[in-house]
Amino acid sequence: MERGRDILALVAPGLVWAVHFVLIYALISAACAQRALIGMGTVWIAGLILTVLGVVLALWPLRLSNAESVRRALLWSSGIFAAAIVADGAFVLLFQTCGG
Amino acid sequence: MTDRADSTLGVFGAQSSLLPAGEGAAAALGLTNAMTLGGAAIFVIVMAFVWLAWRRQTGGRTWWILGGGVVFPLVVLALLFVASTGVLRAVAGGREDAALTIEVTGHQFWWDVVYDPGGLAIRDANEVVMPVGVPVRIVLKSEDVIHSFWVPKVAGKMDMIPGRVNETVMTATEAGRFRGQCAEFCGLSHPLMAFEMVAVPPDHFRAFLEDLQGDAADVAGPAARGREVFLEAGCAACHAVRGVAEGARLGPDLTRVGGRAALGAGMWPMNEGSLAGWIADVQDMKPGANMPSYAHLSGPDLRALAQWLGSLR
Amino acid sequence: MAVTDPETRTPYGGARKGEPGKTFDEIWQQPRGLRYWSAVSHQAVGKRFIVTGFCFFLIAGVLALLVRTQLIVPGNTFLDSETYNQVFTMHGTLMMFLFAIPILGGFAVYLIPMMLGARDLIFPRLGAFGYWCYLFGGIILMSSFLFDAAPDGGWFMYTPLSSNEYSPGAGPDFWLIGITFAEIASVATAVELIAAILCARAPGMSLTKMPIFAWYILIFAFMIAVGFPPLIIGSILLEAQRLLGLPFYDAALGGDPLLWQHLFWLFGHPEVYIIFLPAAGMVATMLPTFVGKPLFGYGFVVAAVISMGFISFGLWAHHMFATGLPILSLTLFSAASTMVAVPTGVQIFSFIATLAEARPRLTVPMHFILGFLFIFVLGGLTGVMLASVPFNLQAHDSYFVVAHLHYVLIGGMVFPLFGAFYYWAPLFTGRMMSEVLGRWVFWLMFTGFNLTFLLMHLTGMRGMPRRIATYPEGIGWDRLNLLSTLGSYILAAGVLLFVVDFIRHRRVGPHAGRNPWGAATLEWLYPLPNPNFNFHAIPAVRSREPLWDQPELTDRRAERIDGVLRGTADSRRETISCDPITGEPIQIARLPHPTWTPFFAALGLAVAFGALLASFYWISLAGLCFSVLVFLLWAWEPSDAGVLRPDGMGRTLPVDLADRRSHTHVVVVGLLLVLFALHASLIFGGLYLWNVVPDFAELTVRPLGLPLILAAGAALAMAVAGTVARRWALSERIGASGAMSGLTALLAAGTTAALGWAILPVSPFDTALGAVIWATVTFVAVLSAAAVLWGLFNLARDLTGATRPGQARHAFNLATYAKGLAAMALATAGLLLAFALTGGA
Repeated sequence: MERGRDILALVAPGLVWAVHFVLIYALISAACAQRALIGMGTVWIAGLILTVLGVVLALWPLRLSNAESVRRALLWSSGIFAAAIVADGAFVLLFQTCGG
Repeated sequence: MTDRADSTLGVFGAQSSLLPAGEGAAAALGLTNAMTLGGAAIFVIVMAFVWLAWRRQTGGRTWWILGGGVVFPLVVLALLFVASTGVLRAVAGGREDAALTIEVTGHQFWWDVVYDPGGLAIRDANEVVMPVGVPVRIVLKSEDVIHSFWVPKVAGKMDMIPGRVNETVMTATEAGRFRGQCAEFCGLSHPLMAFEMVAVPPDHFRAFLEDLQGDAADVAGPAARGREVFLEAGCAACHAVRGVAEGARLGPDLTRVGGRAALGAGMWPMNEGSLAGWIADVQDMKPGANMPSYAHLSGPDLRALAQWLGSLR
Repeated sequence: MAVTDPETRTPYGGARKGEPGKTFDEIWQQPRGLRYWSAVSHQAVGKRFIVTGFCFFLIAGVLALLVRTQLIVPGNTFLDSETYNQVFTMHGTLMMFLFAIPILGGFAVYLIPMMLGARDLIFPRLGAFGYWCYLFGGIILMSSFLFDAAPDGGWFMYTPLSSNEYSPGAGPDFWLIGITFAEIASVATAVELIAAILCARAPGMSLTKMPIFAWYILIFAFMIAVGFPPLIIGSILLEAQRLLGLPFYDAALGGDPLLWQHLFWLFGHPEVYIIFLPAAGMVATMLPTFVGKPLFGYGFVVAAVISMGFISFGLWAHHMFATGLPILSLTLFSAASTMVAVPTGVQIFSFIATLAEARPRLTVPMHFILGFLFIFVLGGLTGVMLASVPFNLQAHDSYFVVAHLHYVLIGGMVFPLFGAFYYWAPLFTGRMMSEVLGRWVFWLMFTGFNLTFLLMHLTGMRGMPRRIATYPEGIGWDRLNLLSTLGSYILAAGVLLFVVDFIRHRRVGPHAGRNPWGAATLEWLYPLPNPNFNFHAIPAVRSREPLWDQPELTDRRAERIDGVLRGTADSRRETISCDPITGEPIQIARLPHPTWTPFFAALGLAVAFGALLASFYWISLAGLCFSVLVFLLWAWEPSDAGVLRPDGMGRTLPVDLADRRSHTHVVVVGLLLVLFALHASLIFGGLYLWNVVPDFAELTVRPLGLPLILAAGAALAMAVAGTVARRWALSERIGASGAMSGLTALLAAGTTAALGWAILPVSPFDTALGAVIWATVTFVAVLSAAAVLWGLFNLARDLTGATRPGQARHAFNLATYAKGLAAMALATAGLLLAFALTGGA
């Protein structure tokens, strides 16, 4: 963890999670609020793509760092964030409408 | 239904989510029980871990952190999430099936109730009567600040927000009277903003609606003087009594006031004495209410008014 | 210009601020008498935060007792409704805003430099300024009691109850203005802590060798920097609605009361974790001391703290489950809410694993740690329950939530804090607190707490809502409330006994000596109490537990320990500043001596805010101008930069470097983070209203397209001009750099003018969206005004010869600020342009 790249590796999954969360929130808001900009189909497809992309990007920093001191912690923090991304994204597939 | 029933005031458990009498509350109680037991078990296990760690210096193990901190929570949470989403969809779904709609509008500090707003549109206040076993769509609005509609024995709460219309479906599974209360802090008399939900068999409910549609009955004797006082004192500027004074909506509709079990939005037992006390001294009983105290009414007038109101059922 | 021999170069003006003829000890001496209040060193400021915070804790505690006393029997008339509402509102407000965050910030301010091997925080005046803002904000809020106008709308100030129509009194104004002021303090302290942790550590202390407490505080500070802005914006908008009639939250004009709730909980939920993190950091620091082994799973804890810092921002709407949001949204927040249990679990199990490392000593702080584990785990589990939507709809706004939040906050914060008082008291006073009384304090608090709050879970499930001054008899709440009230008295007795013990120990507590607990971190290096400068020489650090692993730190008298910066070269206070990642020294940071500037800057703001409350707008403006003037004086002081000095360990280091890694640049980046968060909150507000109230979005008049394009161009040019000014400053073309700084100022003004022109047709009074558009542009305008001042300030310095060769920090940092400002101006112009292009009236 001595180098900047390792720090980046620790923070990056969190940033990926944050962006993913904001986008999923935006998708749901666009579909379910008064304006109803997009349909549930779009939410499904975009949500799926975002979630797959998010998981890949959250795990990506594992390739960045070789420092032994960081790797174990990094493995788990990327893992936690990847799980969080799945949790925040996958449930959309359970829904056919905004209300159920 | 025109008989005045005993109110839920002082009835143990009248507002308890642990004694459900509705579908939403029953489903939530199932979750509550499961989570309480599961949570208690996890708590005991974690505390046992602490105790063991304290007693035996085995050294830390990485798998504790990964097992206890990551894997175990993820598994439990995934289960919990699926279960509670399932319950949520069961509880919140079915709005389309609801045959009956009741619109409740929150005011500081009372509830305006309209049965079947699209059709009959019969107005009442501070008591929500509904048929047992039938899903009822409750439409929630607010005229001033945010309130929250909550009958713990029947279902979870839903906020009433100015500028928005919220909807929820409630199904009572037992006949009875259940206490509800405003659950969102709404100002000075927030603690005094309660109501009663009355679940009755469907045929009783039909009778109740028919009854409610009619005008207030004519009366004779001292109560008739009460009606004059009502009109003279300007009560009709805010309160409607169908057949006597219509249209005003600033205060609760009083067509059936004497038939309600409680006075002042579910707060005091309904009788002529408390009605008289209320009219003379609203601001003391319910600070911040929009109705002024009518302390200037003469004793006989006040009694007549209370008697007349008490007779409206 | 040729660089002269660095060794012989006289410090530029530094000697003016320095105190020649004084010894090292004298230079670092805390001023006495009235002048004590001009002290800016972290020991003084930290203590002030802690003492003031504790006073607010006691006041808020008394308010809590009033609440409990009112609820002891049904239908009680001890307090009337109005007083009761004021009491519970102020209880929550004081505890959350004026106790929890500031006192934890105070501990951080006090401990971080000592733990990390710095003589002071790297921006002592910013810390002092933060303290005065906090104090004045608190006084403004408390003064509402004197005017019989204490806020009574709840600590969450939901609108429309807090609007003019339903709260015509000044209560909400006191709340909004006082709290916003105090929040400025928290944000200032946070930015300062970020810079201090990243830039001022002992040589060799890389991020991985940092004590765990510093990690917790680093994340705490970042969370404040991002988490407080939504509420600051929300409060300013609400105050503007009350004062000017702008309809941000007014449903009749296309506003939405839920927008306030979103902004409030965007702050409010992270706030809980902001409060938890430093306290958990205290546990993670104390625990290894009493176990005698390092924290088990340091890397996991760091990862957990980082992930908590992110994930806790995704939960805000779980306070809004009952507001009628679409079920799909509820489920998203439900999912995100449950995920936060993972990093919490990692930390708890890491603490448990540490316990198993060796036989722990059962001291008073250890009691509080065990109490923390017991209470907090329970609170965490009820938190998971609340993440389940159907359960939440029953429990929300009932006493179940009251129980849950007190388990989390008292268990997660107050118990560790009291442990921390027992643990670190010797640092403050040089004496130990009582082990006997401490046990009594603990058991009283523990029993009282559980009696009070465990029962409330049941009270809530039996349907008792929160925030009710009275309740009817006989429906199942009477006995539970009676017992809760009795419990609260026991809890209060514990706190009272603590106060007694604290006062007692200052006179009769045994002297602590050196490292009384056998701890591993640097704050225990010296015999207590610590000297004001913390270190005669700052030792190199090779271990996370330096006092355990580095014998050269403990085998000799503290003042003989080898290290950098022994003595002082120019009669100035200074400390070593490092590379943020590796901890290698890169510069010597000159630190300010005692000064009144922070006090007067805060005083000017206090006058501005106070006069705003009293509607004396001219006085308000005068206060603001006074404050700006003091800031300019503060910034104008002669720079010490440009000289090289030996560090005493064989290196020659520059003083006050102009570099990306330098502390001033880090603080500008930190400030930009705050500003981005503020700006993003406004953008969120605009997009939210556009999306949720489309009818009124259509009614809103569109801004003009052409000026928006001009604004975007001017913003880009401003960034370029700033960057050129930086480059020329670095190559010592002082005059040319000054000219570019002036141009930057001009372009900043141009950006604002173009944006203002663009929105001229939009009315801020007709629709809420129009009001948000005006608010956003005003925000950019205020930041541009700062850029104008800054550019002209640099130009003036360059022209008057105040800038000497080798000095480039002022231009260096302006360039970064200009880029950040340009980004915000571009985003604003872009979104407005998109809005203009979507047609409309």
